[in-house]
This record gives sequence, C-alpha cells and structure tokens, in this order.
Amino acid sequence: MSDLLTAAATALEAPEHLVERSAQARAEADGSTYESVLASWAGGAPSAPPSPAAAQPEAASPSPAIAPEPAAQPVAPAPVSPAAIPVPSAPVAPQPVVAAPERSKATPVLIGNRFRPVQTWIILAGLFLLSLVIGVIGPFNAGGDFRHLVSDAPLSSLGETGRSVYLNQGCGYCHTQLVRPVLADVGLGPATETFADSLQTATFGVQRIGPDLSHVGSRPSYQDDESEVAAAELLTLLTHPEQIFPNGIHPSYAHLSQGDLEALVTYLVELR
Amino acid sequence: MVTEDTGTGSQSTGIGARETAVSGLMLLSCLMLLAGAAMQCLTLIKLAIPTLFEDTAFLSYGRLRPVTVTLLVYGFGGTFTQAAAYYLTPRLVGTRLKHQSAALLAGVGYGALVVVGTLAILFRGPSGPELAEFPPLIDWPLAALMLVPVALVTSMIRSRTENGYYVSLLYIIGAVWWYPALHVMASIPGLGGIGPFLQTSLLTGGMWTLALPAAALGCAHYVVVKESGRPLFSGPLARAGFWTLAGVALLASPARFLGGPAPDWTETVSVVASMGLILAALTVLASVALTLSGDWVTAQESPVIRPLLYGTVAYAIITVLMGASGFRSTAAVVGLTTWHEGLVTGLALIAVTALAMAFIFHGLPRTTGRELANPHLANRGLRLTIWGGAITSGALMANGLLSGLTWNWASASGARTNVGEGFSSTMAGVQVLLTVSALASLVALLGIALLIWTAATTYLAGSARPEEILVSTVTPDVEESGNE
Repeated sequence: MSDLLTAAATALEAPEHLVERSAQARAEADGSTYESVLASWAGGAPSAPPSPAAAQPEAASPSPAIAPEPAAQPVAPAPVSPAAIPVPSAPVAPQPVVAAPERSKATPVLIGNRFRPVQTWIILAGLFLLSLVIGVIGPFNAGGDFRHLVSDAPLSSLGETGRSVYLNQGCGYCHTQLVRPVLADVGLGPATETFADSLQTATFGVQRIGPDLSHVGSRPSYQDDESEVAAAELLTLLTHPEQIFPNGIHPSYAHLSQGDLEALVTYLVELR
Repeated sequence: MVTEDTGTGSQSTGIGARETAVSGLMLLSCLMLLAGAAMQCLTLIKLAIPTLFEDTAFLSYGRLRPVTVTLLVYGFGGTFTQAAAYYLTPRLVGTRLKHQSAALLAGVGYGALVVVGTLAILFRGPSGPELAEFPPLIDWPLAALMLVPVALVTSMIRSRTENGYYVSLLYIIGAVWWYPALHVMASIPGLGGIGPFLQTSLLTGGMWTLALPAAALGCAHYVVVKESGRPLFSGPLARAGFWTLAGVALLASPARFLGGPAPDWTETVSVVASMGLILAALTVLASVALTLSGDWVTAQESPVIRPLLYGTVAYAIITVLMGASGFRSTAAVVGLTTWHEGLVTGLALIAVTALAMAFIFHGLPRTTGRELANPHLANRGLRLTIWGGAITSGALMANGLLSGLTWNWASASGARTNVGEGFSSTMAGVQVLLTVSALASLVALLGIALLIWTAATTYLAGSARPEEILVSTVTPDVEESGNE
C-alpha cells in the first residue's frame, strides 16, 4: 500500500499525506476503493489525472477541506514522472507536452472554498471606496469640523513665484509647513491654517530634517533675538549657510538664479 | 491546465507557452530595484554630507529623495507586481497568459515611463506632493499602462479552469488593482483646501502599506508552499490576514500626519486602523511561520525559503512598528521625523526586496529553464542586504526618535534647541546616526547587487534544468461549469 501511495505521490508531485487524503475522498465520492484510486493516479488508469490543485497545495489547509466538485474541475494531463524527465546538461529544444483531451470526474480535489472573483472585486472596491470616503471625501466636506482656525494671507506675485521655486527645489522634503497642536510644536507659532482656497498643501512637507517654516517670516533673527528674521539674512542662509550656522547641514543654493533667489526669499518672508 | 516540468532548455519555443513576459519583467524589476537602492544610497549620503555636490541642482536632497521613493514604489514595486501577477495568476486559475507580448510591452512601456518621470523629477523638480511628483504628462499614460495588468489578470480569471480560493490570488488581484486606483485617486486635480493633503496621505499610506507589499506577500504565500512541499498552515488564517490588511491599511494612512489639519475623527479612525494593521502583519507572519514550523532546516538551507522567511519577519516587524506609529502618543513623538523614513526604507530594502528575491529565485529557473546560479552568492547577498538594510533603517528610526524626544523636551522646557533640525548647535546628536545610515545603505546596496547578479547570471548562464511549461488542456465553457 505504501508503495502505491509513494508511486501516486511521485506521479502527482504532491506530498503523500495530501494524496492519501485526496484518494480517500475520491474513493468515497466515486464509490470505488482507495487502492484503485491510488493505482489509477500512480499511472495505472488514464481516467485519474491530477488536479492543478495538487500542484497547489496552498489551499489544502490542515482542516479536512476535501470537497469534490466534479463539474467544475479542469482536466489535466497525466503527470510526467520527474524520474522520466531527462535533465539536459545544456539547453535543448523543448518537448511539447500533449494534453489530455477530455474532462474527468475523477480529478482529485484538494480545495475547500470556491473562488468567487466578482464578489472579491466588489469587496475590494467597496473597501477602497470606504477608505476614500472616510479618508478623503468625509474630511474634505467636514466644513466647520476643522480644528484649526481659518485665515488666508495671500502671497504677492513674487511670493507665488517663490513658492514654485520652493516646490521645485524639493524644500518640502526637509522642511514642513505644518504646525500641529502637539507638545513638540509648541513655540512654532499658530497651528496650521486650513480650508483656505489658496492653501498649498504640497508645502506641508514630509519630514523635518530642518526647521518648520510655517511662520519663518515672523521668527526672531538667527543672529540676534531682538529683531525678526530679515530678507538679507534668509538670502545669506540660502547662499552661504555656513555664515549663519557654521556646523549646520543646510546646503548652499547659490546655484539658483538671482531672480529665483529673490522670489524664494520673498516667499519665505511672507510666511508669517 | 497544469504545470509540467519538461526537459527543456533556454532555446525552447515549444508550444508558445514560454513565459517571456514574466522573466522579462522579473529582470526589469531587478534593474529598478538596483537603481532605487543606488539612489537611496546617494540620498542618504547627501543627507549625511549636505554640502556634497551642493552646486548641482539635480543632486540636492530635495530632488534625490523623491526620485528614490518613486523608483522603489513605482519602478521596482510596479514592475515586480506585474511579473508576480503574470506568473502566479495562470498557475492559480488554471489558464495561460495569452498575450505575452502585450504584457511584456506594457511592462516595459510602464518602466520606461517611470524612468522618464524620474528623470523629469531629477532635472526639472517634483510636480506635486510626495509620490505624486510625476509631471502631469506622465501621470495619465502611466495610469493607462497600470490598467493593462488589471485587464490581463481579469481576462485570465474569466477563462479560468480552476476554482481554488487561493490567498496568493487575492493578494495579486489586490496589488494590480491598488496601484492604478491609488495613482488615479491622487492624480485627480481640482480639490482645493485640505483636499490635496488628504489625497497625499491616502496615497503615501496606501502605496507603502498596501500596494507595494501586496504582490510580495502573495508570492510569499505561494512560494512557501511550493518550496517546502507543505500545505499552507491555514487557508482561513491567511485569508483573514489579507482581508484585514485590505480593510485597514488605507484607513491607517492619516496616522503619519497625526495632529495635522484633518478633523479629529479621522485620527480616531486611523488609530483603530493602525491596530488592525498590526493584526494583519502578525497574521501574515503566523501564516508563513506555522507553515514552515518543524521544517526549519529546509528554511535555513534553501536559497528561496531563507529570503522568504527573513522578508516575512522583516515585513511583520516593520508593519507592526508602522501601526504603532499611528497611536497618538507615539505620533506625538515620532511624527514628521525620520522615523517614518526609516520604516519605509526597511520595508523597501529589506522586506519587499527579500520577498521579491525569494519569488524571483523560485520563478526564474522555472520560466527560463536555468538552474539558480550560485546560491552561495545569493545567501551572502541576502545577509548583506538584511544587515545593511536593518542598520540603515534602524539608524534613521533612532534619529527620528532622538529628534522627536528633544522636540518635546525643548517645548516642555522652553529651550527650543531641537536636535535634528539642522542647526549647528544640535547637529552632533544626529550626524553620527545619519552617517551610519549612509554607510549601512552602501552595504545593503552591495547585498542587493549580489542578489541581482545571481538572478542575472541565472538568466544568462545558468545550467539547464527542467522548465515549467504551462499547458492548457481544456477550453471550458466557464458558464457551463458553473464556476461563477
């Protein structure tokens, strides 16, 4: 018996315990004997080819989920024993594989649940839409539910240009413009304004490698705490940062054109 | 339809079932990974030494960082998802990918667009917020090409001859679907006010936690079974992991911006979803580990199962930490620091890379008829990738934690001397960590290069082995079979 099982498992290229369970289920479903099923799978009878499921033991959970579904089973060719396959030492021409021409009710079935793609897609799409509603549409339409105050400080046209330079140079990958109502952000100025049409959320940024710039235009000077930061100081910080922070990590942006630098500085000064 | 091993070599043309799209896209994803890892190195070096090439606009951190992320998520993740979909779907639904050329052409076109898009970011600057930086001219053609895998997978499923409910198939369906859905969602213009912020939150969270790892996780569930010869420990458990992930990952997205301008209730939702994310990650880990339970020797020796196991463990750890970062108390400390950068770096360079290489080492020999070349080199590459990636990721996370703690401490004390904000007086604390992460990323890059070298030599010069040929045996009338 174990020889037969081994032969069938070899032929099916599936673990013996799976083949054993599958053969028992098939025998029960067909009203035949376990031995005859094994014999047919081992190569004795053409009517018992392996199911693709045999090559996919993934779905065969340890729970006895062996459910015969003869009408829905594909027909597969008789297996080619690995022992019969010549493994060439160098690439050779392929051997066409001849497929079995007909369906069979004797396919071993190792699967329990039937795949329902339409339902799967509907549920996936539903979960995505739900996330969209909760994560984007809901908050977007929340109106007065916002925690932060609304105000709108329009930029000058040069400031608008400066914002483009800011985005184009990727400043938002090191600097945020997002003051949160958390302890870490105390001292950074009023929390970030929202709901203003002119608000450019692209400038919110990703992380703070450098300081938050939400209100950089009204911050104290880096060189003396008495006055506000001045345009000239910001220009120096952009072109010769080592003069402001000798050991700091801000790179120089001296390669920008004079016009871009002026626009960028104007934008920063207008962030108040 | 079944898979058959036949004694064929690389010259085979056979019955037209040669999976050129799969092997081609596998190699393309390898190239994208190598490019992304190299850019990651450069980015971290630039972070550690900002004055390096400071006169060159396209080598600024603000250009390199979006290019890196785009290459890893869109380039590597996108092409790998396509390769995985075209390999797994035929085997799981019992049909053949009929349009190999179209699949390959669309995949290569997609890769070319990603490269053009990243070059545009590099030389002309980002055109939008994080992960939506492609120029508008690239966005929509890219979305169209993303729909090709959706159409092909759908077509294969429609003509399926196999009814098995495999969790790998769920992950593949999800992965090919989430990429275009998230991309299109983020590309919709016209939302004013807070809209783009919300779009960005969902896009970045969705890409990192859902779209990028989905195909890799699908491959993990498939490969672990095929390589170990053991059935999946529990199909229901694995499916529970998938549905939990699909249900909560997007809702957990705003967690990264906790305390941001979104309404309070979104934070509550994201905190709850973050807990679900932790559960999903642990379920995936349990599913794979219990399948291998008692067979650890195989896991240690196999050049396929080893990366698979390490990748799964790394994925679980990183996703648990991502979920934990969504809690308000944690986010108040690590929010907006390099903590998140460390997590996504680990996810891309360790977890997804290891899982992807496990899949490629499993699938490439079967689709090319070539034996895996030099498994020893692959193991060495894996070790370097894991160690390098872990130190890179850990240093960035430690830097984020240090920064966040000092921000809180500074605010509480009124001192406002924040470590990690680029000021000269506070740089010593983080400079070491940033330097360590840059150096470790070089080690990870070397490891990834060795892994890819193994894949490339397998494709080009591996010794012949039986090739897996997909054979369509019936042309069933699906409706008659009652498959639906």
